[in-house]
Amino acid sequence: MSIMRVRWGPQHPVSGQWAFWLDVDGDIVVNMEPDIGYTHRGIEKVAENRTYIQNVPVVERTSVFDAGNIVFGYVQAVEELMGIEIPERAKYIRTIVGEMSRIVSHLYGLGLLAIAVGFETMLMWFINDRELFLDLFEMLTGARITYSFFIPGGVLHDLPQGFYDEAMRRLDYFERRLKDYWKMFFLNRTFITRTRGVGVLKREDAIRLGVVGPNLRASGVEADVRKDEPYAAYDQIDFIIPTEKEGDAYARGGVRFHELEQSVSIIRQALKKIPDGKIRVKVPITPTPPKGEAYSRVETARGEIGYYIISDGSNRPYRVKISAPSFRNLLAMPFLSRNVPMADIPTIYLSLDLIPLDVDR
Amino acid sequence: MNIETIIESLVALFINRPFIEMLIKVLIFPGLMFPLLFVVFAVWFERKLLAKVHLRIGPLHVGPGPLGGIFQLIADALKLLQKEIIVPYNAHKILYNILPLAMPMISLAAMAFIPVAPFPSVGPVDYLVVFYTPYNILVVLALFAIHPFLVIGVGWASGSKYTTMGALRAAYQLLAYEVPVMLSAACVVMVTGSFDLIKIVESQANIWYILLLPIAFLVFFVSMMAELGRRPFDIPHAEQEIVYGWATEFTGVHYVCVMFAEYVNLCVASCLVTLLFLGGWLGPVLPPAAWFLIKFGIVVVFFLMGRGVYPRLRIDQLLNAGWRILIPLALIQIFIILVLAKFAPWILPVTFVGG
Amino acid sequence: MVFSWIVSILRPLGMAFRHIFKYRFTVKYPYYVLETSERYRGRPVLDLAKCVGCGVCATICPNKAITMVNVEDRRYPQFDAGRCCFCGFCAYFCLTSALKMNGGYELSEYDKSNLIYPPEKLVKVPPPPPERKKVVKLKKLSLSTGVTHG
Repeated sequence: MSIMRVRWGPQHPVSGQWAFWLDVDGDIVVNMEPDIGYTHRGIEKVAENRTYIQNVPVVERTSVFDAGNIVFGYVQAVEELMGIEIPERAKYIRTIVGEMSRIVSHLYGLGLLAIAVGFETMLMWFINDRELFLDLFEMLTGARITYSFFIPGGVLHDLPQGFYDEAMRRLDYFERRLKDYWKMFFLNRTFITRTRGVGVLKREDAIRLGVVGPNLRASGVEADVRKDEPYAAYDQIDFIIPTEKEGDAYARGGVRFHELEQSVSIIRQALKKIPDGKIRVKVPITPTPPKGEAYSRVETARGEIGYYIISDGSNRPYRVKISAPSFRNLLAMPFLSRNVPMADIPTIYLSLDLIPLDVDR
Repeated sequence: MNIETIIESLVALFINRPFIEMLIKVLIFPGLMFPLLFVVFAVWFERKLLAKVHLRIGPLHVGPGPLGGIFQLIADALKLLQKEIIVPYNAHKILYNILPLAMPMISLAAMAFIPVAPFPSVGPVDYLVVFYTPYNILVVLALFAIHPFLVIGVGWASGSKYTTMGALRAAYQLLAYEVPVMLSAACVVMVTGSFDLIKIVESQANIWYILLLPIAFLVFFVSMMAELGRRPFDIPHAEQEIVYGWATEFTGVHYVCVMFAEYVNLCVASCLVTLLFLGGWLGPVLPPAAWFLIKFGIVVVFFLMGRGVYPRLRIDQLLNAGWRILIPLALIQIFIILVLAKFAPWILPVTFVGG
Repeated sequence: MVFSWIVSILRPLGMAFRHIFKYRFTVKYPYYVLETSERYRGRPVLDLAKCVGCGVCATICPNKAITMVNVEDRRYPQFDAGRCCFCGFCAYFCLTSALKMNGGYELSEYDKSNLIYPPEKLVKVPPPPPERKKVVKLKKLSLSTGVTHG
C-alpha cells in the first residue's frame, strides 16, 4: 500500500491556526506530525520589556478564551516575588472570575468538540449561553473577553451593585440549560457512537506523556491544582474533581461538562461566603520586586499553567517562562492519532481542547 | 396550401387541451418550475429552520419581511455564474467539466417520472406526470442510483487528495444504503402488486403504508437520507474532516450545478417518501395537489432536521448500520408481509396470487 | 435496551423542534445596540479641567497608545485608538480621575490618521447611538419568559 501525505491545515475548516501532516494509508492515519508556530508572538520576550503591571494584558493574550485563569498564575507569581498577601475579599473575587472564565472556556471547548463531529446545534447553544457569562464579565470588569482584571496586589474593581442577583439569576438559568445539554448532546446516540472509544488515552500513557487538566482527569487521574495546592479561596469551598475512567473523547467531554456543574456550585458558594473588606493592597504603579525568582501554578480550563519569573531587582522581569497547558496536551496528539480513521482526527484534536495560541505563545 | 390553413393547422396543433396540459405538466407542475422553485425555497427554509433550532435569527436581508433572505440563493447563483471556471492542474479536464453539468440533468430526469396528483379533467382520469410508464418506481430508483457514480467520477477527475477521499467515501456509502432502499421499496411493491406509483398511491385509500409497513418506512427514510447525503450521513462531504469532500475543487457554475442537483435529489426523495408511504395526494376536502404538497413539506422538514439534531457518523459505522440493522429490518418486514398474506390477507390491499 | 436506543435517538429531535419556538439570542446589531454596562471599557475620555499632566497614563499603558503632548505649555495625553488594547489601566491609575473609560466602542475610521485622538478630540464624549438604533438593555434578556431581544 502506498502512503499518501495530506496536509491538514492551516487552510482547513477546523484545523485552527496550525497544520498537521497526516500520513494516510487509505482512510487510516498511520503517522501525524503537528506543524506549529503560525501564531508565535514572542509573548515571553515581550514580557521582558514591560513592567510588571503592563505585563498583565500581555500574558493574557496567551489564551484569550480563558483570560481569567491565565492571568491568575502570573499575578500570583509576582505577588510571591514581592512578598505581599492579598485581602480575603480579593481572593474570593478572583475565585469567582476564575470559575466564570473556566465556564466560558469549557463552553467554547465543548462547542468545538461538537463541531468536530458535525453538530452545529450544540456549538450554537454553547456559544449562546457563553454570552450570559460574558455579560456578567462586562458588568464586573468592563470587558467581555480580555478583562485584565487581576493586577499584582488584588483586583481592579469590587463587585458592582446588583451583581449577586444578576449572577444568581443567570446561574439558575444556566443550570436548567445544562440538563438540556446532557440530554441533547451526551445522551444523543449518534454522538455516543461517534466519540466512545475514540482516542483512548490510558491512565499510564496519560501520566507518561505529561497530559494535564481535564484530559488527565478523563483518564482516571484525580489531579487538580485547585485541590492539590489550593490557591485563592479554593481551600474554603466545597467541590469535587470530576473524573472518568475511559479516557476517550466522550470521557473528556464528560469531564468538561461535569466541571461546568462544579464551577456553577463554586461561584454560588463564593458569592454567598464572600467577606467584606478591601479588594486591593497598595502596590506602586511600577513595582520593583527584590532580586529573586518565583514559580506559581494554577488550574486553567485546559489544565495546569506554570509561570516562572526571575527578577533582577529592576522594574521589569528578567525572564517570564510560561508552561502552557495546550503545549503539554499537544504531546498526546501524535500518540493518539496513530492507526485511527481520518474521520477521527478532528474529534481527537478538539476533544483534547488544544488551541494553537496557547501552544505557540 | 395557403397561409390560413397553415395557421389553422398550427392552432389545431398547439391551442388544444392535450397540448396545454402537456405544457403545464412539463414546465410548471411537476416539471421544470416545481423543482426550481423548490430549490430556491428549500435552501432558504433550511437556513431559517436551522437558525431557529440554533436560537439564531437566520438570513434577514435579501427579501421582504419575514421572508428575508429568500432571494439570497438567486443572488448567490448569479454571482457564481459570473465566476471564472478554475480547473485544477491535476484534473482530468473533460470529465471535470462534463460530470458536474450532468448531475442536475439526471436529477431532473428522475423528477419526470413522478406523478404528483390527478389532473382535474373532464374525460378519463389523467395524472400530473411528465412521462407516464407503469414501471416508474423502477426508473426513478435507477436514475437515483446513477448519482453516486457521477460523484465517484467527479472526485477522481478533480485530481485532489481531499476529493479522492470524498469519492471513495461515496463509493463505500453506496454499499451501505443501496440495498436497503431497494428492499424497502420492494416491500411496498409486494403489497401493492404493481410497479406503478399511481397504483401504489391508490391502494393506500384505506390505510397508509406508513401504518401498515412502519419498519419499511423507517428503513426507506433512513437509507434515503444516506443516499441524499443529509447530515447524519453527509460522510462524502464531511466538512470537518476532508474540507468539502468530492466537491472541494468546484467553483462557479460547477458548484451551482452540484448544489442544484443535491437539492433536486432532495425533492425527488421527498416525493418518493410521500407517494410510497404517506398516501400521496389522498386526503379529504382539500384538492389532491394541496394534500401532496402538505405531506411533501412535512417530509422535507424531517429530512432537513437531521442536520440540526445528529452529528455525522463515521463511514464504518454507517456500513455497520446499513448491513447489521437496516437490511435485517427490511427482511423482517418482508417476512411480516408474507405472514400477513398467509394468515390475514384482508389487511393487505391486494390478494397475493400465489398466497 | 432497544427502548433506550430509540429514546436517545428521538429525544434530541423533539428538543430541537421545541427550540424552534424559543427565544433568540441574536441582536440585529446595526439596528439594535446592546446597552453597555457602567464599567464598560470603550474609548477613554479626558477631562481637561482635572488633568494635571502627570503622565501616569502614558507610563502604565502597555501598548504605548498614550503619549504626552504639549498644548499651550501644559502636557496632556494623546490617544492612539489603533494601538489601544482597552485594558483600562490608564483610567484606573489616573490620579485625578481625569481619564475615564467610556461606553463608545464604534471607533472604526476610514482614515488611519483619524484614529489618533489629540487632547482636544479626546475630550469629546462619543455620541449616543442615533435614533434609528434601538438600545437593548442587558436586563431585558429575560431568560425564563422567552422574550426575544432582537
